[in-house]
Amino acid sequence: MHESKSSGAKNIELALGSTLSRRSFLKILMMTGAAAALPSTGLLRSFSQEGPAFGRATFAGLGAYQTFRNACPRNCYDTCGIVSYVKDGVLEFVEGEPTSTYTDGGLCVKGYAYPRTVYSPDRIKYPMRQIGRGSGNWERISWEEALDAISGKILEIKEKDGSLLGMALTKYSGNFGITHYGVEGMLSSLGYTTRFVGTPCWPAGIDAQNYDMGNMWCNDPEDMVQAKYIIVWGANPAYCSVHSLKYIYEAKKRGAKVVVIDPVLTQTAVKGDEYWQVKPGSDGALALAMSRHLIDQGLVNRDWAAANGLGYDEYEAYIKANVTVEWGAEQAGLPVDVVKRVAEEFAAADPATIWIGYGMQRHVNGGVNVRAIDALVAMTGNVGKPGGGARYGHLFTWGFNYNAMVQAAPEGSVGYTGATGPKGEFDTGQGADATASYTDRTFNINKIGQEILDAQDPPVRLLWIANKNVVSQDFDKNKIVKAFEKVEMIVAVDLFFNPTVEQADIVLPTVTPFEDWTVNVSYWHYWLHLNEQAIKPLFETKSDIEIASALSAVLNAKQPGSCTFPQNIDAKEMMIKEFNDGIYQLFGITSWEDLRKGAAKAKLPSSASWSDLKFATPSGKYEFKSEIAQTNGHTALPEYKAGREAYAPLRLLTPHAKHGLHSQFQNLDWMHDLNPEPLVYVHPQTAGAKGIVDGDTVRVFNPTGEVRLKAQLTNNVPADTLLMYEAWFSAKNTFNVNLLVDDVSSDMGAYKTGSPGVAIHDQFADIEKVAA
Amino acid sequence: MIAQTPSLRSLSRFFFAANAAELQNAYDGLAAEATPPLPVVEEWKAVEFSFNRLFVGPRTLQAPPYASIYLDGDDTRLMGASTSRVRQLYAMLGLASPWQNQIPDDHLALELDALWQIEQALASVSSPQLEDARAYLIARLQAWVPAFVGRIQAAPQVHPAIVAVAGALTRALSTVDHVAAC
Ligand code: SF4
Repeated sequence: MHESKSSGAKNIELALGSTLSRRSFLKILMMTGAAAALPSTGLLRSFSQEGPAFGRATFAGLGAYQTFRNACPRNCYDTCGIVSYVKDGVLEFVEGEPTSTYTDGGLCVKGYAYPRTVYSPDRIKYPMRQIGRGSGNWERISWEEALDAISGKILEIKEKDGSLLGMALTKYSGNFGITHYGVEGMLSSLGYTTRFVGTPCWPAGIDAQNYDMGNMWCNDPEDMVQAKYIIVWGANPAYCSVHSLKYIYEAKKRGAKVVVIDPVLTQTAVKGDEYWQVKPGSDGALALAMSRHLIDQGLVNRDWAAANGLGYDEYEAYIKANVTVEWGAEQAGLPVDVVKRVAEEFAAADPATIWIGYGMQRHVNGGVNVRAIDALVAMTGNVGKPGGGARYGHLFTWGFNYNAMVQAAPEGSVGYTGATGPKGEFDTGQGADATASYTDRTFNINKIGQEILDAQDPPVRLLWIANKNVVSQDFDKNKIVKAFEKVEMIVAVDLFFNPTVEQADIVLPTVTPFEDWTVNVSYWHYWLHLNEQAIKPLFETKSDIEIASALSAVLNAKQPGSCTFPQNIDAKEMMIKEFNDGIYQLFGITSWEDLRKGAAKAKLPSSASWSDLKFATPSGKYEFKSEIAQTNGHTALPEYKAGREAYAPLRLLTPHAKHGLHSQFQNLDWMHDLNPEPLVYVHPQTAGAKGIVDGDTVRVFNPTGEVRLKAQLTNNVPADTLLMYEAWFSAKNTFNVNLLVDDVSSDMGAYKTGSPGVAIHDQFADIEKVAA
Repeated sequence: MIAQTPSLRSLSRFFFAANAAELQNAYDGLAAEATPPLPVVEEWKAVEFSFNRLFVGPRTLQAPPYASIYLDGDDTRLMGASTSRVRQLYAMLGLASPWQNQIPDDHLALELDALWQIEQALASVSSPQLEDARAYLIARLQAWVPAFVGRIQAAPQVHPAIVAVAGALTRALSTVDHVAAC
């Protein structure tokens, strides 16, 4: 350690090596009175002052690991179970849950990096107040001071406006643990507020599947091994669902053919047997063309359609009158014979399945395109079959109590009187009180900038942000920052000082999964994971529900009855209260404590969704023709809908990265080593025309904004397309794809999630070389 | 030898301060005995903002005040092997941090506090064990504090008062080293 180390220092080094020597060292200190001479009026306290238990931990249990069960809650398909290894109260390392056949003992590199999140020196440690938004001048405040300021603002708003509609919440998927819906609960417990509702992620596809089948419900991904034909359509599991790949490989090994459809030659695409580079947004035209060919060839499973479908004949008539294979193939940019051949192969395989990715529905025609793909799966009789299915996602295992979320408004609360819909895809309706005369005011989560700019009577005065890095992840960054100027107080609850926190007045430090009690399920697989508190929360961090509880205590002290959120909660008790008999039965467990031994999987009657072919639509059938869709302003049939018109020369795609999950993980050093800086991927032909060579610094720009970064030339993207992966690198790098992505809506999403999605991949831009 | 122990305590308090008032208190304690004299501070809020950027947040810390960052060769992970070692050292002295597993035990303020407590004890008792512990702690601090101070000095827009305290820290450690070697 030190060159000129004295013999005294060496003695200590030796003693540190064994528990016994450390004990005898202390014994001598005590016997000689030296221990008593330590003043112990400092920061460190003596065992004798604090009682023997205080220091025992530091001698006991060395070398022994305790294990805990955790889950990765970051809005990843895989929602992995984690086994955490803790020594002396320190999380040393993590591994994948071995009892889940899906997680199968392994995590992705992001998951393995978790201890580096927990112990990052850059974590938000204390409540802090920024003196001047964006100034970087932060002062530490106590929890009391923070909650005093926030509660003061809440009471001031109520006084001024006569309601709390001036307080708004935006929250999404930073932590999908069930108790984290206590954030919504906190807002409900305060009264009627403004909620940013919907989902930036997958709403168009959710609505599409609801129109077709009455719900979004996918087969168990583990049954993909039984598929004889797999089309991965606009999904990139090699990046975003690594644990699903093994089922695709196994299916291949058993003889299945795998076709990958994507505008980008992804890592998933190179693993398929066949890759189709399609034009973005042409998916509906392509599915219609394939359907036309099946009709022409007599390959439609008419028996299935007649027995289980509604409106199939009308759909067929529509296709015959409006669609040719040639037209659809041209729309998609594919050769006609290839489209025909794959359509035939798909129809011949039994079972055949399509994995519908979230990327392909982030278009102005994304919802109706999903419907056309659903229809292709249905008309070949593959819906309801193990190894088949139109796989998109599910909420089948999410039937918890939402005990933390469901909170009553304080008596006498005044709210909004207009119409309101669901508050996001997880809104079970359990919180709605049909007799209440007031509701929350709902704004589109995907247009936060515009909604705040437009909000009146009252304006958004206090914005609470949790589990969401709005400024990185929401659309049209510049508009958002401008809108924030209108908001009187912004409170952000987060782990890191990300671009959203930089625009906040008060930041509250929150916990990682390892410092929290909760329970997690997936929207893809069917496993249930307990999330135990494995270590003490670092610094002064608190979980969302602990924050809600503390706020409630302060508010009730100031104005009794002003907040109904339970005070003095126990996080573990709150977790337990999320369980119910339905969950226990579904997962075949008798108590949540069974999950301490390992993960549990839902006991499904079949690995296939809709296996009884009783659909949740009004007709009980698969609705090729949906009246609800029509009522909601769409075509009743999944008819062709054109994509967004280009507003700049090149298409811009900003999909998920490999080493990040939206804005999470990429700020960690491990990810930085693997992916040190943002890049824009450009086809060599396009680059050549612009005089750009590999490694050049370029400006990518459109009417929404611009970013500057390095160009990387690759044949993996089409010549008319630019690609950059979404990410928040760290405070050192201001890169943000949403400087270029506007907030234009996708077609669907409002029906089941409260707001339409965003046409994230219907964006366009230009590129030019600039001086480095 | 005991002359520098009050400054060890003030240094510990300074690096552990939660706000401008606590910073000022600790700084006043240091200023009383510092040579060369510490600069006069006009605006304590400015010191606090700079202090937080260096040691607490926002953003990537300019100079994380934790030994393991410098001793374990892992720049971005707290609670490393050397954190656990210093916890063991405290235990050997019958001491423990009340913030165990919340604030890493190798926070500069805690290591300085341990050294201060040893110095205090040695003023009234003679103990070869405490001498050894002192030598170890000094060697340890000298192994990482220079790199830490280097980061403070290199940080953009760092407040001069903090650079001056970093200088006082360096001097305090070199003085104790000299005494310990005798
Ligand atoms: S990011 Fe996804 S794959 Fe990685 S550990 Fe988390 S849930 Fe698993």
